[in-house]
Amino acid sequence: MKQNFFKITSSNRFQAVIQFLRKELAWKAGEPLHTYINLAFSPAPDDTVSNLFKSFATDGHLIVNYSTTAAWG
Amino acid sequence: MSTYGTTRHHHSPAAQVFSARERVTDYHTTLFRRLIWDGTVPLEIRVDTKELPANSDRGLESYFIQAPRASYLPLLMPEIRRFFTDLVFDETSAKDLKDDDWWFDTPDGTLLKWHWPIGLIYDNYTISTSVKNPTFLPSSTVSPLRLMLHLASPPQDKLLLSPSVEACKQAFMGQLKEADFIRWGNTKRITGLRKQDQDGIWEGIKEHNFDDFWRIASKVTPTSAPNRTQSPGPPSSAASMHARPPSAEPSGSSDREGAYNVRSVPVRLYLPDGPVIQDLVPPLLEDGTPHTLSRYLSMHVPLLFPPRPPAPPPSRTNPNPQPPLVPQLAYALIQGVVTPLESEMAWLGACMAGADGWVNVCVGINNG
Repeated sequence: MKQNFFKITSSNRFQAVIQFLRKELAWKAGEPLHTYINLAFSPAPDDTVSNLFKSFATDGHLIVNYSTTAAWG
Repeated sequence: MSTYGTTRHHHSPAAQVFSARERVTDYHTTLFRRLIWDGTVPLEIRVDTKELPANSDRGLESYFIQAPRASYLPLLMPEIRRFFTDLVFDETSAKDLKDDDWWFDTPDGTLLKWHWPIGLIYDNYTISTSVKNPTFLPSSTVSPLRLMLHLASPPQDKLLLSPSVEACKQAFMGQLKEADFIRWGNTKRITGLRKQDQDGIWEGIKEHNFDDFWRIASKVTPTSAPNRTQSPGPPSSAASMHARPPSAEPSGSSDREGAYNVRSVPVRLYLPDGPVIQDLVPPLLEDGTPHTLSRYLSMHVPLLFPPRPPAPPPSRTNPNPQPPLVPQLAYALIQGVVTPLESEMAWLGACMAGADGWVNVCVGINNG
């Protein structure tokens, strides 16, 4: 991706982040895309960005990792 | 034989706990975990009459089930499918139905998520009823939650996950790791489990086997640390939550894995038909006293749980003044239990959490 930092309204669900990533990467609908916070776990898609930010932000950013295969245990 | 007693002997957890050979989780923690595990909720499942295939037996349209709180809807599907295909649908239409397309909502149109524990679904129904029905009392009502089963056109975008057992397992493991991260700042406890144990913890849920589940879950869940008084005084234990690296912890400390030593307790707050609030919930406050449910609620939803004002100064006529009473506008439901507000958050995390490690606090409204 050209850019690494994005802004999102905090009331969005994490599902919106997943959909955004898929669009940004031009990911095909059926292809799996795994998303993680802090290289550690996949949040539930109905968690809000605001809740995740409050609990897991690093230096003012919520770090989201993505992977084509399941990773991190 | 085992640390936790056997699942088949529901009535005597105590005796078996003490017969264990090795280190055991203390009696009270195990007792509460057992009570939570054995918790069930009644469900009534019916197919939307408009969607019933032709030639269905309309005399048998409801299926009743007493489902474990710790279970998930995808795990109940085989039993539900068997009932409807054997008894309700006729053979031809049963063949045409794909249960990948099946989904549930409630009569008032709330979609049921595949990845929520059934107990949480039920408690959310309870608190949402508390708002709609003024005469409703949580303790006096054990009416089944009525679920409407739809046979086609699942609203994929709202259900978020597929109804498969595999997707449910992944979501469960994700929640388990998120809870681990909240507690310790990393997921080493879960990722450090052998593959066999990672699969085994889910098998414990699937088979609803207390022993199998807790044999593994006790490796990743904090103990409620009844010997907390042996730890250093409150100020230093409060400080240790933040800075002490794992290597600096005294080895062999009995409560190093204790509920009061976590960074934060995995807690989610559910309001009726409303948003879910998740925040960091330290087990101890800055002054070293335990963080209580009362304090947690009055911080996050102060209008429903107004903080109790301090007592007036003593006077000659009233030497022992009590703080003024505040109206009880709302109540907290955890695992179906109206929970005393003086409960400590760390204890709730060790004893009242769901199988995925999360304490789900559902707020209902008192009608008064």
